Amino acid sequence: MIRTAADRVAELLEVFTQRSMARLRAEFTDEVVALHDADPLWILEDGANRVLRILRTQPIQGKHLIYAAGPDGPWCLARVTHGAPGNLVVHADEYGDYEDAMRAVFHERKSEYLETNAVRELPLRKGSGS
Amino acid sequence: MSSPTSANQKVYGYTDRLSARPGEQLTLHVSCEEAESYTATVVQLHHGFDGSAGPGFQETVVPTAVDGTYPGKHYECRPGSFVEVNDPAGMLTDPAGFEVRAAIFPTLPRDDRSGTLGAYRISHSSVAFKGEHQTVLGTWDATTSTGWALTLDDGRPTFVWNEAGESRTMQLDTALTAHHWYELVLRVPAGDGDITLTCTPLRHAMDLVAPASARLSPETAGAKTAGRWMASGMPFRIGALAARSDSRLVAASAFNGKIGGVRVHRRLGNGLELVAQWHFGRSERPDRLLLSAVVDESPNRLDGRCVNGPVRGVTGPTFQGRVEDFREAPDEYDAIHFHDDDIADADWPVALTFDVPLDLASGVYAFRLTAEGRDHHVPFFVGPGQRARDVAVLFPTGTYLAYANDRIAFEADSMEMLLGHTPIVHSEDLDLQDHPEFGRSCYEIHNDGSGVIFSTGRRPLITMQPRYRASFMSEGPWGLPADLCIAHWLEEIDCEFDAITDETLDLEGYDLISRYRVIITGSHPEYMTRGELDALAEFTAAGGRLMYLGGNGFYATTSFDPEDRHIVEVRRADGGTRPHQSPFAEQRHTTSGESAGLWRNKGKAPERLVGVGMSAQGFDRCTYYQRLDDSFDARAAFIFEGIGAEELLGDFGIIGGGAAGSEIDFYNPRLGTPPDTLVLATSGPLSDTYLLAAEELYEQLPGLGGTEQASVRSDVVYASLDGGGGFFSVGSIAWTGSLSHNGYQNNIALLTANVLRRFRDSEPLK
Repeated sequence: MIRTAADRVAELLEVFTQRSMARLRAEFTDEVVALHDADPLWILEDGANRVLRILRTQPIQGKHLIYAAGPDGPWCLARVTHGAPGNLVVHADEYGDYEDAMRAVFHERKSEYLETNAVRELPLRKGSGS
Repeated sequence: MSSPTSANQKVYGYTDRLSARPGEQLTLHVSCEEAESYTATVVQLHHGFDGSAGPGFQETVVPTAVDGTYPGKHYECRPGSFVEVNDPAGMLTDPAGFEVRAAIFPTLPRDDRSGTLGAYRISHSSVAFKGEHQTVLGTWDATTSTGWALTLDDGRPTFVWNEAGESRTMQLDTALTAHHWYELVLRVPAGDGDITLTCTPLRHAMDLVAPASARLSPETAGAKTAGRWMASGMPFRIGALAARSDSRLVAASAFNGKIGGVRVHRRLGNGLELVAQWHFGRSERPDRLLLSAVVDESPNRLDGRCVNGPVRGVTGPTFQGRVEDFREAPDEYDAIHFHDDDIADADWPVALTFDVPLDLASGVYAFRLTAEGRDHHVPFFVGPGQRARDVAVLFPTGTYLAYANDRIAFEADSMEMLLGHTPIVHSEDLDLQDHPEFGRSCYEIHNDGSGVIFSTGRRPLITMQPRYRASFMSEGPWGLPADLCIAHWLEEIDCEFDAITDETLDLEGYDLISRYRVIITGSHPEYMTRGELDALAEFTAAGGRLMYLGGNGFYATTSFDPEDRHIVEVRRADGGTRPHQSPFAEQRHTTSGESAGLWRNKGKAPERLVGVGMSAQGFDRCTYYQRLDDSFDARAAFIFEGIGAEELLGDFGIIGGGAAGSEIDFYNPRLGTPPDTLVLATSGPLSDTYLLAAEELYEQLPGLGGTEQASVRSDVVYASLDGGGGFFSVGSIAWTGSLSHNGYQNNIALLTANVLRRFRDSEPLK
């Protein structure tokens, strides 16, 4: 199997991602959650913004969007799902305020990244080059 | 969980152009989705944003001859750019005796795009790509399996033809590597004999190492033929094949990449006779622009024309790396970059024509198409009539087109990072996802990873729906819906206005606006042509008054195709804020000759025209303005009549909750702000998602966000100029979203009206 440039780029990204996720786990504190819950659009603390930036740069496939069902809401959480109608799967729960939907996105991500330990401890691949 | 309302939209349309004057004619083009009929009505658009925080969606029906019910019919919109050759004598119908040469630079020979692309790190294309068959040139008809073509099949050079009624193919073993130049040579005997296809990697001045490191070597394949060709009846095309769709021939098996150096010879005895020699870098126009016409330099003049806007002015196989302007070395620009997702004209048949009544007032209108209970609006602008008004609104149609059908939220890993919040999408965005064939915005990346530089009005424009809300705004209006906030405010204060557009100002220049006392811009006049900038500068210098009620204005070089004015071109230079970047030596607009990039980097900073220029962008929350010392200057007293000295200005609004924000400009005198410009107000606090614009940076330094960087702000300025004219600039996209607050009883509406009242007065500004 000949390794390609894409393989090498992916490996480099993986190294960085592990470091990034380790930092996320360390800095994703209850204080960050409280800040976001208080006002998801006005967070001025560096540490909290670093957590948010990591979450916000995850790959688009499967990522959250918020779907506005009408001119004044309600707003629903949705996931980018390429291949589904509209490339989007919308969750049933509705929110009367889009900032509440943003809070719900944040909590779902917290659950995914921390509570279910979904962040893999990937060993570095060694010796797989040609 | 479920998939929501996508596929609900049953009718789509577009017009042949976005603007017409009374007495002129517009054509409407309509396609239905499983709807047997639709109704059409002309409406005047007054207000778009339909949330309860504003006046609501408002339109009025304009009785015209258009009113009625029409049969619904579906027409395909098929992207894919190509050159179609005019070959009335059928010289290219069969390849007997041909020697065909073509240099190709595949950019996506197989469906294996990877990585993240562009400023927003686009990692996925929601426009499906099926690249197993890509056409270099030919007449092949896939339905009847007749004709012939040179193609890439799963990345491998392939010759396909019909012999005695049977489909045959001949293929090389090695798939081509992306982003390398190759020469394909096809030799066909005049009668029976051997066909050969050779692929040779080309040495290239800009790529001397890669061919060797990629282990590229020439390869040849051969096959016997009895010379019994069966023609297809399809036209000869370069970059795509033809496929029948209703009465039209649309694109099929489109190519991704560059093709150049295309020559066809016919064997004649022991020699070769030239049949065709297309020169993609050659223009027969006096200005040497490369538009749709394609020149054949052979005596046969098998000239062609570009369809669906492939990119010209791109470097070819003989490029030497020393020139940057296609007009200076045409031979080095003998190439065209084709994309399978290019679209310049959906080419739907005319559904109806509309003769704009002579007495129809200038303004914003739309064809309202309704099928199965759901509306689709096709906006258009009625330009100035014979009755003179003293105020005109310049609707930024160049910007509307640059952003048209933007779908970044579904494709980019870092969109949410840019916004500072999860994007909020709407049913129109899902419709757009279900209709990738409606084409991309100039913020997007083609399937092959190159940036989109053309946009067109001849396709359904989902983002120009009057109620549309862009995913990046916090549920506020953007584009046309934001500018309808200005139109509605003007109606509220009984100020009649003429509606003019970017393309008409570009075409007619100062003559179009010389009779007005006041020009009001839209909320986001980002994409401007040189002709527009010059016309507006002449306007203010001659006593005209310019109200710049937006942000990020007069920003990026834009051109309208002089022959196809529904097409706008926006290439990207290697500096400043930009979603992607055009390659070296491909940053010259082929529709105007302009170099790409920000006007500030070309000696025409917006500060010279309106006093402020781009500072930052952010999409989480907007803020208020606070008054500064200059706001108490006697020259500015008229602006603040009725407004308290300590009042915060615009701490409200439907765009992010404040008048200052989204994309913002600041007072920056080093770039040419007129010396006596008064700085009236500056924005309140902004978050760190507002980052200093890239063009303000020479090196990256920490602390570029709104909480740390002094230049991240929006400033309101006013200047009077010699000659009695002047400008008033707010430097904020969000400003228009505050006008309607509290039933227009607020200090932003009051302040803006104060300015307008004084600007309409003939007394010279002081």
